[in-house]
Amino acid sequence: MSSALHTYQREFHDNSTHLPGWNAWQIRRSRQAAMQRVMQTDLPTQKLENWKYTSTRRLSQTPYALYTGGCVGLYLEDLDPFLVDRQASHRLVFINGLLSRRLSCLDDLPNAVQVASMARIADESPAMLSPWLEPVLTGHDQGFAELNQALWLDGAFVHIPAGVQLIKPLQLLFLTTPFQEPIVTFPWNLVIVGKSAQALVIESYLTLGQGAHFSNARTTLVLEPQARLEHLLLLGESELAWHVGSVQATQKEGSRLDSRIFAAGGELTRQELQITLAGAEAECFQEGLFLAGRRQHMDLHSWLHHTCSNTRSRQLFKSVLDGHARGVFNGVIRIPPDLQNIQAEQKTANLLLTDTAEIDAKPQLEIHSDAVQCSHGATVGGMNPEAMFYLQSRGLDVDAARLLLIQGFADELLQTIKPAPVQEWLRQRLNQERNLP
Amino acid sequence: MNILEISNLHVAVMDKPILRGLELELKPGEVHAIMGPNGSGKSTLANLLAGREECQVTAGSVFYQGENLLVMAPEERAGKGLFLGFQNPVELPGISNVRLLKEAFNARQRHRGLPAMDALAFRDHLDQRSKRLGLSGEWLLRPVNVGFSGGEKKRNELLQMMVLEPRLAILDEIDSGLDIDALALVAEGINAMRDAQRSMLLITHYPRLLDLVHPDHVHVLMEGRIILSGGMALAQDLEKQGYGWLEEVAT
Amino acid sequence: MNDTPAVASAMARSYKYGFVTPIESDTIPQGLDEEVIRLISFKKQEPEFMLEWRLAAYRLWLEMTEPNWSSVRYPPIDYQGISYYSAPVGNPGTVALEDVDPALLATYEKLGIPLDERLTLAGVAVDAVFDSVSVATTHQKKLAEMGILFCSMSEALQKHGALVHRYLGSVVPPEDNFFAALNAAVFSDGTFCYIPPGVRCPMELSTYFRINAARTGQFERTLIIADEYSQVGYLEGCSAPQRDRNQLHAAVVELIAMEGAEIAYSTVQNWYPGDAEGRGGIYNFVTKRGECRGDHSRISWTQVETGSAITWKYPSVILRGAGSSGRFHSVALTNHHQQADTGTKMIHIGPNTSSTILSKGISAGHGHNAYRGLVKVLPGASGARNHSQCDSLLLGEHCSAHTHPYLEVKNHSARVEHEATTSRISEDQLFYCRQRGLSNEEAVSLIVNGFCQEVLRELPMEFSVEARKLLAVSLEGSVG
Repeated sequence: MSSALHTYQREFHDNSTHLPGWNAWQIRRSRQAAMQRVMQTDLPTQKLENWKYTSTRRLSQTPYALYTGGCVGLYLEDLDPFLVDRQASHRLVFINGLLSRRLSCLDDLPNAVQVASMARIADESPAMLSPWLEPVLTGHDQGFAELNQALWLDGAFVHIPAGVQLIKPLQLLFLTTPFQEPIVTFPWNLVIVGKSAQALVIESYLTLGQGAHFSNARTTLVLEPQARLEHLLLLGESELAWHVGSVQATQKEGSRLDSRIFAAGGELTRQELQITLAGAEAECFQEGLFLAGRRQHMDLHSWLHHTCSNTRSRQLFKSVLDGHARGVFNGVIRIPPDLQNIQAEQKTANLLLTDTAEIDAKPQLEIHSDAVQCSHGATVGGMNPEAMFYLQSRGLDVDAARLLLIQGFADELLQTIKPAPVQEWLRQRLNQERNLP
Repeated sequence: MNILEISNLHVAVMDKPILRGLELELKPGEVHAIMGPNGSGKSTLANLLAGREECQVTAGSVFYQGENLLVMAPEERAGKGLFLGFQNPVELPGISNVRLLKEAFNARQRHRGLPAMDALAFRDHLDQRSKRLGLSGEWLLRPVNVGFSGGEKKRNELLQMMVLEPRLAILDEIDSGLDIDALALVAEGINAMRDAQRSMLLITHYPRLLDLVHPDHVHVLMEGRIILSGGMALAQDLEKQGYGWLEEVAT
Repeated sequence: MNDTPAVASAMARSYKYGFVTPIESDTIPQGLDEEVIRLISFKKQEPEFMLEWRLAAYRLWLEMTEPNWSSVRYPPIDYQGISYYSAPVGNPGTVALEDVDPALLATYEKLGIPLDERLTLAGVAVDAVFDSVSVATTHQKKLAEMGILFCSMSEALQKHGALVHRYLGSVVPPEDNFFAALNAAVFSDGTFCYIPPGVRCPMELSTYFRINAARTGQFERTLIIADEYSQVGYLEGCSAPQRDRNQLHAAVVELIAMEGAEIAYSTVQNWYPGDAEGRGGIYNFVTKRGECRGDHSRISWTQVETGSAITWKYPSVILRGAGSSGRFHSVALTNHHQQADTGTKMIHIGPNTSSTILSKGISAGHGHNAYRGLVKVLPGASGARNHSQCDSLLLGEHCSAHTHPYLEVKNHSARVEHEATTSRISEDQLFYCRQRGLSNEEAVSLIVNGFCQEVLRELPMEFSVEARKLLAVSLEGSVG
């Protein structure tokens, strides 16, 4: 067994009764089963196809301490740069993985919309969670998600009831304030968008300061019939941070998910997106932008399962890799037998800025039905010399031309973001976090 | 015997009724034109005659040279000399024009119990016809319809008709998207194909082709029925007045 | 589909190479150990180094496990249930054509590969491999006049031992993979070619592989060396009798192109695919790799894979020389219960290297077709270029197509592009062809041909015609 797992297992064993929802049998059983599975398979290693390009050696050899609370003196003003326009949004703030009620603000939430601490829901109304406790996927490559399932301490519980439209964006801010001893956080978020309901949820992982820490995050999205959800995930943690996250979404008939991911921070990032289009006329549009420099390692694994006829998906993922950065993209579109009228399109474009940067891209189609129109495209290349020359001939120096081209490359994904304050905030965050010239 | 005999034909596409009681008779050697506004059912008629599965016949009958056309597979209809010039012919990547023409020509030969034409003889047969339409030899090597302009596709359809020499040619908007010169060329091709045995059904929105071809009969199709039949004079009326004045007749 | 006699006879018709040649064979007992390897080496009167090489490979193989990462599925292979050597009696190696058993000549004649030089296709020299041995090689004399060595591997080992020793295993070493190690241990024959500097080979060289005996495996090894600024085109064909039991074919092909040299390697693979229910057929587990060792050298692989119960092969190019280029053109068709996991690896090491991948997969019946390809650009490969296009066509509801490209790029001046599509045959295209009088089956065949056109045109003329026919025949029974 890897040494980190050994530590986490001991923590689980010693402190289980303090874990949220432990008194409720469903939650207890789900945690125990997850721990058992990960103990059997151990944490994943590079020998697994899905981890081929990402070394988990340090993740599984270096145990970090579980943060279980303690005094962090923060004022709302300290949070300012991390927050979307305060007036124009709702927010839940988690400091080191635990909800800070003082820093959160849920004024003027529409009636019947529930936004709460997952820990509280687990203790007070565990039955509300029971349909969502079991993960979609288990297996030898799911070790980190299962670790989260066993050990989650808090997170956001969001329920938008049928027909309700959440006008302001809801920000879930996960801010870590590093300590002497690096900590690990295990947030689990559950967002349920009811029938014909609508919401924009911004999930952001950021660090105050420059310390090391490990976020092992899991988010479950549920879209009921005709629901519309825009999910924006921002990963901008410190340059010493590790982030392993998974988003699992299930879409029912006629629902539409717009999933966007922007990653700029972290030393090691592994994000998984697993979307299941399980109802007719469900649609999913996914976009992602990865900006990595220095020795950053960013790994995105996306799985799109069309399990129902008449479903559509479109994906576009881009990366910009500088310095000694390494990017990994693995995208799978999977279509089982006997489905009709499926459209799926996936594109990935990767910009390498140096000879020491590297990209490993693997777009995959697994098609078992003939009633499909599926395609994928992947490109890898450096800065276009003709475009560089053109800009230089218009008077820009090399650095300015380069920056302009990088911005142009990234902008395709930024410019479609609405509302404007969110787009503006995101641009600022990316400018702050990214380590590009 | 009539080439084509359509009685009380009702056809639905995706359960929506399109043709509602259409009547039409074509005799050998006759050229008929069917005109009508968009959505009147012109293309449905063409597709139905060629045997497209989406067209469900809900009532009525179609006889082709005395045989029930509706029970025949598309290739069987083609084998018996029925040709459809498509309004929007599909692209066939990787398959050259000459290849398709040869396959189609020999399929017809087989159907008639005739031996396949050898490559050289077929080449001659083809060259004569493609020259008449101003199509180069290089053209014949291009994949069918791939990257063709609208006009090129139409000329290609006409070439196929000339090569296959059908008994009944149904030309679905063969004139759309053509400039004046191309239109003249197409009309010339159609006229050259006219003889005492071959019948044609020209489906068109505009009368300008008819000025060059002079059909024997002109029909107006509206609301799924032929509401008016006449000669060239009818086509000229339509050119001047459009279809608006006919709406009352239709309802 | 059920087992009516009509269906069975239709299937029997569709694989027209399924006959057995009644000929007396020297077949060694089933099973594999060091003694068997010594026996094979002894029978072939090989130089000492070969026996050592084989035994070392065998010991490596014992330590290795069979790969399971591909998408193909088959019951475990009993490596002790295979005979590793079978040769027609009286043919210990290549002999003069006049001495070849007339039954063998008739076999090749029936396969459309006459070995009599007066009857051969103009411009094609053939090495005919029957079970474990080469039975005849045509046009040797004419080629020898130009300094071209074209002979069976057995003959090469005896006559050109030093040359073989220098290159054998230098592109695909025995430790490369499980099947390559097995092949190195037990390979019985194959083809050897050497084209001297500056020589343009005046005819296509080819090998025709035939498995005849039951319960044998065929393990051949081909080595082609194109010395500086030489040029050669090579064709490979294969077939086997129709049998209920699966048979293993684990070949290794190594190509070496020196500075400015060009090798074009084409395969039309038509091993017995098994019957409509998936019984029998060849397991075609092949390692093919070329190395562009010199600057501006070129290697291309063109394959049309319609046979075999299972195909597992990735003809690859190591682009070491500056400005060298590699190409991979593939058509893989799987019908009934056939499975194919095929693709390529393009390893860009030298600067300004380029590669092109064009893969067309067609799945019908319960067929499974996977493209698996790696494009790797190493830091030294400045200015490297790759373009890949992988298209899959699905015919029917029970087949599947997977696409698994791996792009690994470590150089920022490289440009790598990959595109893939998966779709079914278009109803509009089918209707158009049927309106022009083609039957449903002819229309499908024509459209599939069009889908593969870009690959088929890479083949030499005679092969291209053969490949088209093969595609049509392989699709039989796939259209309702």
